[in-house]
Amino acid sequence: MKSIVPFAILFLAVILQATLFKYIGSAGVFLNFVLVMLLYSVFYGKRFKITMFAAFLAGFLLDGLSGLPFGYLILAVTAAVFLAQALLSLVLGDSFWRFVFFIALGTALYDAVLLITLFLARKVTAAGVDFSAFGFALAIELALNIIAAFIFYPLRKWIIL
Amino acid sequence: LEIRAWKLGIMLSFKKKIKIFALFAAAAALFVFLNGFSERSTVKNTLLAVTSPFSRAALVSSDFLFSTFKTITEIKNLSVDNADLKNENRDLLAELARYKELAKEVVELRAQLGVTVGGKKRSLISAEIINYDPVSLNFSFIINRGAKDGVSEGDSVIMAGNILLGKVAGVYDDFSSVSLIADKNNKVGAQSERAETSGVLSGSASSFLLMDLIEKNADIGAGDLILTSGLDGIYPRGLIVGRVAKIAENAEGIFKQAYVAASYAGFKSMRVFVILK
Repeated sequence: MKSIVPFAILFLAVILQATLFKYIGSAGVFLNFVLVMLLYSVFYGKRFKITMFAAFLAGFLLDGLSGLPFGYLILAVTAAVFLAQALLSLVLGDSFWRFVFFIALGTALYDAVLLITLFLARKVTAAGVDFSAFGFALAIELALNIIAAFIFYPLRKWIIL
Repeated sequence: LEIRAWKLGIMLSFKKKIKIFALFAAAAALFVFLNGFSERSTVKNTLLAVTSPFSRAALVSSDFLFSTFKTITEIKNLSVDNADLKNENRDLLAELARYKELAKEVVELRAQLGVTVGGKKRSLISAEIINYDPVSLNFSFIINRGAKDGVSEGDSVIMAGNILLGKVAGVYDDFSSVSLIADKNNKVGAQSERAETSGVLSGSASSFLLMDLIEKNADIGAGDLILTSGLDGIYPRGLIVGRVAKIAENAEGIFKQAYVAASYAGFKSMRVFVILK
């Protein structure tokens, strides 16, 4: 029963990302709640396999609710979480500012992976990429995710994965 | 020796992690590969059937929460807005009376000339928004109508008042994904209502829609109402898109652009309509 709780929370997080958090943000960019949750698990959690499974499940659910062809978001989320895990050694210690830095690093990684994935899905073409708009979107998403980091930090004693 | 053994341990553990990641990535790649074999993803349809009651409940609650919040924050502007709306209503009533007279005249003239009312009648079905796209900058949403209801790819989606939202981009058995006109890949043939100045409309980096390929000398200005022209072969003619917010003129180019504030911006209703082909 206890092992189901984290995944139920993840399910709820995905639902909220596709509904409630769409109202918070601007110019089509909003808080990536699921990503912040996964990065939080990477940073404070110790179980690699379960974190990767959670990333896969999150990607699976996000893919279901998204307008993108199925599978691309699973690939993007698992790749971003794996890369964040690999780069975790660069962020020594678990102080608040290191956590904030890790969230920023993870968000940038996710957006880069997502852009590559959208290229593969042919949702974005080389000629159609507006790098200034992409940079602006990344800045808004970074700001929103960092605000979310402030909320997650006090919860570090109750690691969910 | 101890350091070497520690480094070897890290390497081995990293290799194991790569293997686990490769396994998940292979599963994801399999899903991507399977997309090519079925036009309508059964997995996606099943997943939407499971999540839709939850996302619908969350959407209704979010909508209520933010509407209440907006009402509270905008309460001080209510009296000004009310006066503006009364004036606008009076003007619109006068215009409506004029249109009713014109409509009567058209019917009489048609009767005299023996002309019957032609044109294809639009077939509409109503649908509900289940959830929005959880990915930033991907302007789409999911509705609870699919292939079983006769929805097909490319069908236009509007909201009450003939306001264009976008087109159906993906169809599953019971659900469809709708790509908003704010999506950069979505091109809409558009024209101004006043001077019938035409152009091509798509999403832009800003919160406005961008109407491009407008002839440099064309008559278009801020406040002009923009409608679909029907020239793209996707959207029917005469759907409301928005109003021109500003004009961007390039001294060297042969075209000018107009930034259009979409009429659907800030729409709250979860009910939309699909225009079946």
